[in-house]
Amino acid sequence: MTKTISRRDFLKGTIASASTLALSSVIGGTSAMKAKAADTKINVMVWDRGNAAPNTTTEDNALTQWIREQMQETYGFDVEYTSVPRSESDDKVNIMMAGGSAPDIIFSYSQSLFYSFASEGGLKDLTDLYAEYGGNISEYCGEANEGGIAEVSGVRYAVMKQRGTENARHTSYIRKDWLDELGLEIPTTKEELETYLYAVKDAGLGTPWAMSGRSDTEEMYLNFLGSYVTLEDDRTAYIYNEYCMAVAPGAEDGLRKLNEYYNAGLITQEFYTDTDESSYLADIANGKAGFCNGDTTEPWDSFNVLNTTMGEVDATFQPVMCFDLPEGGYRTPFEYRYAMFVMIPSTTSDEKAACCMQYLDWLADPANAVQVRYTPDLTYNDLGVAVEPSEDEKNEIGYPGTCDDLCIMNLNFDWVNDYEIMAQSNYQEQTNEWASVEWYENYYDVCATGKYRFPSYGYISDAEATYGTDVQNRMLTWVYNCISCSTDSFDSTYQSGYDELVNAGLQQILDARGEYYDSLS
Amino acid sequence: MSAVKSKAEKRFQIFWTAFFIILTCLCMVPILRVISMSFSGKNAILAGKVFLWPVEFTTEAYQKALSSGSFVRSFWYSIMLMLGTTAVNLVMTVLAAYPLSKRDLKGGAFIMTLFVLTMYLHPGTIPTYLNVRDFGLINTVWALVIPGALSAYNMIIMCNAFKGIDDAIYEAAKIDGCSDMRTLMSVALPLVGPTLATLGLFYAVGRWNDISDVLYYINSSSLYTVQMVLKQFIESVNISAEEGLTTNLVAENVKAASIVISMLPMLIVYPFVQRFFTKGIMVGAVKG
Repeated sequence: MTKTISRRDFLKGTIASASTLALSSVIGGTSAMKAKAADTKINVMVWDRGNAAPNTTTEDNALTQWIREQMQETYGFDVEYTSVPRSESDDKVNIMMAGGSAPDIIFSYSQSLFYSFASEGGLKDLTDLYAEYGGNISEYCGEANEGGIAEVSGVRYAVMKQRGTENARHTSYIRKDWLDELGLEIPTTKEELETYLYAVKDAGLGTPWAMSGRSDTEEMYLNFLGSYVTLEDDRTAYIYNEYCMAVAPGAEDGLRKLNEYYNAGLITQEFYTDTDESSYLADIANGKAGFCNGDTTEPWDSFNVLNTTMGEVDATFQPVMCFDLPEGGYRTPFEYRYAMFVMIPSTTSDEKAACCMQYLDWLADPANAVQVRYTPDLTYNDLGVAVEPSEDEKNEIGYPGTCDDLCIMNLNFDWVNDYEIMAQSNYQEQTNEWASVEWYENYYDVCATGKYRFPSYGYISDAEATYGTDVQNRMLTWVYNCISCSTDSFDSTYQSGYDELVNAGLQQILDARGEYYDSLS
Repeated sequence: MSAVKSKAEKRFQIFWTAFFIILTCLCMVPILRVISMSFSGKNAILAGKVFLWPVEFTTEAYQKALSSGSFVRSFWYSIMLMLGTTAVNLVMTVLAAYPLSKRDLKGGAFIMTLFVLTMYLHPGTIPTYLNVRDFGLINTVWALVIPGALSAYNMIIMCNAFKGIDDAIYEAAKIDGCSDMRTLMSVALPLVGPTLATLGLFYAVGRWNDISDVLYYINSSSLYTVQMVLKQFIESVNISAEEGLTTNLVAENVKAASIVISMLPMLIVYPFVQRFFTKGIMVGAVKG
């Protein structure tokens, strides 16, 4: 169970820390430890997004200076930062690792990169360091670090960043004003959704289901297909998870239904060409779409434009959950509680590795993390939510554009999973009032309906490492082909594409997952 | 007969002129769209109303892009780097090409073969990285200058340009008492001016656009070129909710403004150098 702290606890913690520091300054042993660490300087990777404040750099700014001071005061070692371009992060880390010149702390969202480094001996064994120095990580980032995701063959090679707000991966939205016009209620099942989609088409209101053709995600169809799949046990859930949901038993019926919708003109006809989602979002903003399903908050800006045009709060889109499961109920896949893999390369000395773990442990403490995430000059609003200085203030003081990039361990502050506060906070942060507090509360309620997390482990099979990316790319193309082919050719398109996936390594990946799950028991 | 031929030629001219005008317009569409996005407002962009002409005209995106410390610093740094690198490139190219253009240079063919081999045999990213690292160039500006100081392809063009100069001119210079260096500086270089200008533009554009070496060899954002900063900016620019309250910004128009600003130096320089282009490339291409 992960703990977060309130402001009162924060103050208590601060006083306690100050007392501890005062005491420790008297104790000779601590002084000796500091003296030993005094010459030590660890090098920490930091993402560069090209948005440093004027006259500062990503590695050297008011926030990095503040962290360095905290490290020197608390532990007695120094910190320097290495800039890594955000968009090419994994490539850069890979090259630095190959060249033996990686920083002492590196991180990545890529599980395959982590597994590759760990299995090839590129990472430090953190088992003992975690036990010795990882108290805060264990206490405050426990959810992210449980389940062995950071372990390979039982050895811990990473510590996991704890996410903040628990978010649904994807959410559906429906036009409430169109439902009213058609005399329909908010749908709660796929059948009712179908009735609505056909009614929208017959009434000529617009595109019933707006879909895009992004090539890097399966967001447009995944929840729908998943609602045709019965996950009998954790083993089945682990084998297929979201990544292979399109080939899970039962998903074919979902694909067939999407194909039917497409050929009936219920789905955006050229969705597969809209790879940057510009048409999809424009259709929503222009009031031409009746239903959409995708990244949970992505269409909010478009809702804003539409509601503002309509001149009424909550005028159009409402969050909706209508993808009922065969066995009843709903399944809403949620993000994992872990975010990225934070690693220490094996080239780092033992002494530095200990300092690195102390650095990470310090960052795991919410009292410190909140000051890194929102800057030491943060304020709290009347909801108790931290607020960072304005962009102009940050530029003036010299804080980086994205302080979050230095907060690499913990975003789990005490308000982030209080959905009432989050709804209020979202309401207050609106650029202009396009949705009510109730709208946001409903959003969190809908997202939490059928909350589900797929099982996850640190292991990646050779088959997945070799064929995984190719299979995933092929699967996306195959799904788009199945949706957009003629009804007559659905069976042949489905079968030929499926065979192609199997030949590309799909079956080996699924088999390896099954074998691994069995080996755990 | 000649009248018929003239009509055919006219039709031929009209067809190809029309074809290239259409082709040019097609090439211009994405550029014009980026420019119009950079001057358009948030709601118009989100509603997909912007195509070739700005909608809800605003210059706030430019203000936002130019207020980024990283962008402005890297912009001037990149210009200085481009000028410096181009100068080094041209010096190295001339110094390699001039002696190799001499037919009486002993071992010249062998040395030229070695140069040509570098065009076909690339060691790969990791070995190159290790080489640069072992020379102590990682995270220094020299990592962006020295590994690419000479392009074998451009050197061959320059070599052919020197070969295109009549031997009698060299002999006359020698009779007049010119040293080899004086002959190069005062006789040969003025005669290959168009080639020099063209290759200079090649090198400058290459340096301006290249981000791979910055990605591999640079660990400090103060040494990032504008293209690298722009890439990060484009892929991760976020307009805060607070800014959205009072401004007309959305990620797309800030990205577009950044792209327009980064295109400017090349757009300004190109027309001045363009007149050398055909001439420069063709010098030395035809012998006899």
